Amino acid sequence: MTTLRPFDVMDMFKFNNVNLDINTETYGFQFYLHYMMNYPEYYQVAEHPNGEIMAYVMGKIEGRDTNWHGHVTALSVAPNFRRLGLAAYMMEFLERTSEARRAYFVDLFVRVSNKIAIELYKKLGYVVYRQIIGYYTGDRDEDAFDMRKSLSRDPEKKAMVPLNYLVHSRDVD
Amino acid sequence: MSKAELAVLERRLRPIYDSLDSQQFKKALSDCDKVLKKHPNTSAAKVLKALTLIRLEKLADATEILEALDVPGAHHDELTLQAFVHCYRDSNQHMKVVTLYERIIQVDPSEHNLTQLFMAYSREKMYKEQQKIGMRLYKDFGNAPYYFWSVMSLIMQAQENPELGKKMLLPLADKMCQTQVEKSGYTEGSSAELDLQLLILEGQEKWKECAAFLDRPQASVLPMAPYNLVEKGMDFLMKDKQYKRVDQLAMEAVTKMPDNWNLWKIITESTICQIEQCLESDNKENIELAHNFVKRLGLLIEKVQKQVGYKSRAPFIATFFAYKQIGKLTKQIPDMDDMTSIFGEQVDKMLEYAKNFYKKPVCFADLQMFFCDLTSEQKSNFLKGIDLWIGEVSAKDDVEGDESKVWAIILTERCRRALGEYEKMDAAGHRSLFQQCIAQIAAPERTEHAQGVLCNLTVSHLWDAYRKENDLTKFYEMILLLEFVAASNKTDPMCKLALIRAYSALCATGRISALVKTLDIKVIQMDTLGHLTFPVYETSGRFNLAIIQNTQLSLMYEQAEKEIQDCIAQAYRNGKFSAIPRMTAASKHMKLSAQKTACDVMNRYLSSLFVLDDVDQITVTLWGDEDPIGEKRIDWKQLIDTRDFNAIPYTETEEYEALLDDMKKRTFKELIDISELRSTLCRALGAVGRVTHENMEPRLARLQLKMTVMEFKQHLEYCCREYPSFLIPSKLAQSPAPHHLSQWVHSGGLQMVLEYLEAAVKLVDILDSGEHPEKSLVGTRTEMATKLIKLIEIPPKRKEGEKLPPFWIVDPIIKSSRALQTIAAIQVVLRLIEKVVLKLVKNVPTAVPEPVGKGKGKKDKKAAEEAMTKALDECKAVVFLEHIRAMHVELRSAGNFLHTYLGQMLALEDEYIPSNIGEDLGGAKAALEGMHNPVASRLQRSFLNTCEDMHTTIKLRF
Repeated sequence: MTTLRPFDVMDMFKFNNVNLDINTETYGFQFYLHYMMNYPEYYQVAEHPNGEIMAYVMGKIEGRDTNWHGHVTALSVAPNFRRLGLAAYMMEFLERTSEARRAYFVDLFVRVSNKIAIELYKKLGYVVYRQIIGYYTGDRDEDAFDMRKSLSRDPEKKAMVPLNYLVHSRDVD
Repeated sequence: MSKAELAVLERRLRPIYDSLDSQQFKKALSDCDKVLKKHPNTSAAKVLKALTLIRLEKLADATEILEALDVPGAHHDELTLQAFVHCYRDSNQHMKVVTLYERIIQVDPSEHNLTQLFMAYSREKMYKEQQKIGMRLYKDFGNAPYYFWSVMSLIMQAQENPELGKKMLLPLADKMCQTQVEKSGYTEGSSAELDLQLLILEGQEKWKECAAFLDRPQASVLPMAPYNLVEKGMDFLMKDKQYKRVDQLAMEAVTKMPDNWNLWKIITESTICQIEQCLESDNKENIELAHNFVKRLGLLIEKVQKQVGYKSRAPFIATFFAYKQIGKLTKQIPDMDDMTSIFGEQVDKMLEYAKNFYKKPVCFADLQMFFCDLTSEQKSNFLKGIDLWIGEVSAKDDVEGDESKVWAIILTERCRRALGEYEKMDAAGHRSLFQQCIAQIAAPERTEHAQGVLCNLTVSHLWDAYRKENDLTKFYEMILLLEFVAASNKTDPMCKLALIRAYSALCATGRISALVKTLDIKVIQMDTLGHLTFPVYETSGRFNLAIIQNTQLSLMYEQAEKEIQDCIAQAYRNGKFSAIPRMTAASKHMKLSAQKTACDVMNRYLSSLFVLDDVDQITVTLWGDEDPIGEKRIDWKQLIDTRDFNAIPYTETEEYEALLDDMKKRTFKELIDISELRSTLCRALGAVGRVTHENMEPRLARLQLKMTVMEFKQHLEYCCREYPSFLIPSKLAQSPAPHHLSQWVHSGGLQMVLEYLEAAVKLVDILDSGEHPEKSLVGTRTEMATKLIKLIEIPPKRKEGEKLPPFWIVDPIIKSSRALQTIAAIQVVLRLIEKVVLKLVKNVPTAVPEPVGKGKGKKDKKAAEEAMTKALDECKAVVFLEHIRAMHVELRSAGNFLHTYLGQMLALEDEYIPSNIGEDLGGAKAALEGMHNPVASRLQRSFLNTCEDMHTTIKLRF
């Protein structure tokens, strides 16, 4: 049962069941409001009939020329609502939105240790494009994988050709 | 000022900026003085000096500088203005930003300054004034966006006053918007005009027009995904009661998107609305039509269920939802009592749902929504069916790596508990169930997700024993189980949240801090989850930690407000009007957070009692950040409950919801009441100090003193009535950390403080009338000692021949904390009383004067007698002050006695941590025993640290 609706700022007062996940970051107001204002179609919440937030996806569209792409900034599912295909559904939604905006590809960053997520993205057609050294900082310093999936505007899948060298986080464009 | 001059000024100020940014405030002050020494007329440096003084908490000195510069007619460069804004915001004087720019535009009505004023009005929600400035910007500079700012200001006014909005404001906004669109068309690449038009229509509740609006091709420019646009359109149609149109759209869509719950919900609700219309009359045709609506819904559900099989949940939940909604009809459908032929037998359908979706963690949450709709017989039948099913599942062979059987057990046990079976079991049954749960939790290769859910369920059982029977041994077993899971399960946050909740009941602050850090609770979560820990450092006597926590909270709230306001300003600039109302609502939510106010009040209270030494600083802190005349007071009734109680999930019967709702109301009220109690106490104490404040108007200061002491007295009496001594904190698992308000108001301590406050009021009256106070005004030393002895009598009472109960140390810790607060508060008020005497009584002698020699004549003799009388009268002040100082000695003595009691308490042989754990648990006992030593050690260390903290407080403050 997957129903998406636009994120509302008041959701921030009740998304703890999602955001307490160890792999989900909680940001300041400005971060969430920036996406809500500028990329509302990329910011969707899945809500259970009992009113609980099941999951949310946050993304944007950016870049120039052939680098015009959709980006998944955050994707998180509450523990009690897992194994429902929500992540796949939300990714599909974001991909469709990116297609409509004529993006060349969709990308995302994921912790190299988050095996479950990496496996999921691979099943959805994403490949590891590059490894970003030191992308995650703080208590859990870690590299990230930049994973990509080409859309119809990139039929030759040029965006998915992996880089053969590591990239430092400060050099990520 | 030219750009070049501005650049020079900025370079000159750079050292100050750098020092401020690195929080080196003393250096910043020195840097300011250096600049001013060379360039004494540099206003920006003066204002930055004021900012530095504010950061150093010298508000009075800063205010003096600001008031000298922020005057009508003054010209200020941009850097000076920016510094002013920082000063006013840092000192919570936001209205002065408005005043500042209102003055500035009188002498420099530039586009920039007018824009700044517009945003200042926005921040203060002065939408009428904002509208005028927006229009002025448009007229002066001709940019269309400013026109729309003015329109948006009207919309915001309408949202504040819906009645006036519909009548006048929104029609005006609509007219203005239409005029501009007709004149200039829609802005290319922007949704500004469309956002405004839709906001206006929604505000006017013109649902038909709203629906039509979204059907227009231009609507695709609105900041919504097409998917959301369609659903929003359906929502408008529903509000306009266009049910047939809704049916047409939604029923077509649901066959393509069968798992879209919004569609099922709207289809069902549309059907119900149409049925209700039919039932308005007893017409046979209408009744038949109602029957047809129900059948149509049933057929649709059946059709889609067959279409999707068991790959989607929504069509199956639609059956239960239909039953639920039809059952809610105020008027039942004639001749349709039994809908089994249409929707199927409800219990059978629920069992079928369970059998097909039990592997999904969400399965229970789906079913739980509808348990309350079942009759007792249906519940019984459901339980029989699920017991039969779990028996079949259990009989199957285990498959390595497959946790299906575990999820079946989880679902079964959760359903049993939710339907009241747990309550029917005896103690032995409970124990056996607990044993089985531990075995499942500790099973090899148990996934972290399943383990977390099992743990949550198990904790519910053990928490019952604590809540209903006050079984502290089982409570400790629960802690051990949670710690067992937390130690190995890195991804489940619920066990850690439950631990925080449990430890908050035990004043175990050390472990709480560690868990909060592990969970990485921050930003907005500090507000929504703050209730789990908020008062615990104060109630545990760890005042410095409480102040640190509250300071961090305050910074979070300040930063949140700044970020939200910046985003609102950005939304105006970028024409993102649809986001503005929601962000404004969020701003209000944060600003009126009850915890925000509670945090501020507590910090002022604790800082004044245990950190600050300077009596003037104490006075300012106690009084709080308000206008000088103190008119801007806290409106307690407006505060909002922002606590998120859904963070800790639960499996309970439907009656539990009522308990939760009651707990939420009670604990919110308690939070308000204790915060108001602290606030009135702080203000009363501060008012004593303000009597001697040089900048205070004497008459006003005296009036404030009497009023605030009366308010404190009245609120204390109210709390004594509302929170009787036998009242204990809520023991629900979702309850916030307890405030122990009833203990506080019945400890006798606050009553002591009140006595001295009332003495202060009388003292001022006495001194104002030219008289001197008697010692009896503040009572004798013996009276004080007697009350203090009772206050600090913290050792637990022991029954002859019996050991103290588990965790007996918690109550003495709380009592000690409150006792220390009382002693410190009395110390403050006595210090303030001393200052009042020294200030208001002139020429207080330092000692009792010696008798003078006899005069020779009658005239001289009379003069001598008068002098002696005056001297003796003045001696009363000296005697009074000496008495006050003696009372300080008594307070120190009380502190030392408390110190002794704390030490003796730690030496008691009675264990305060249960040791008889795991009885009747068989092999599961090992899991708990393995955690006992480390957990017990941590608890002991936490209690020890708590006592040591209070030891330190006593040594430093008394």
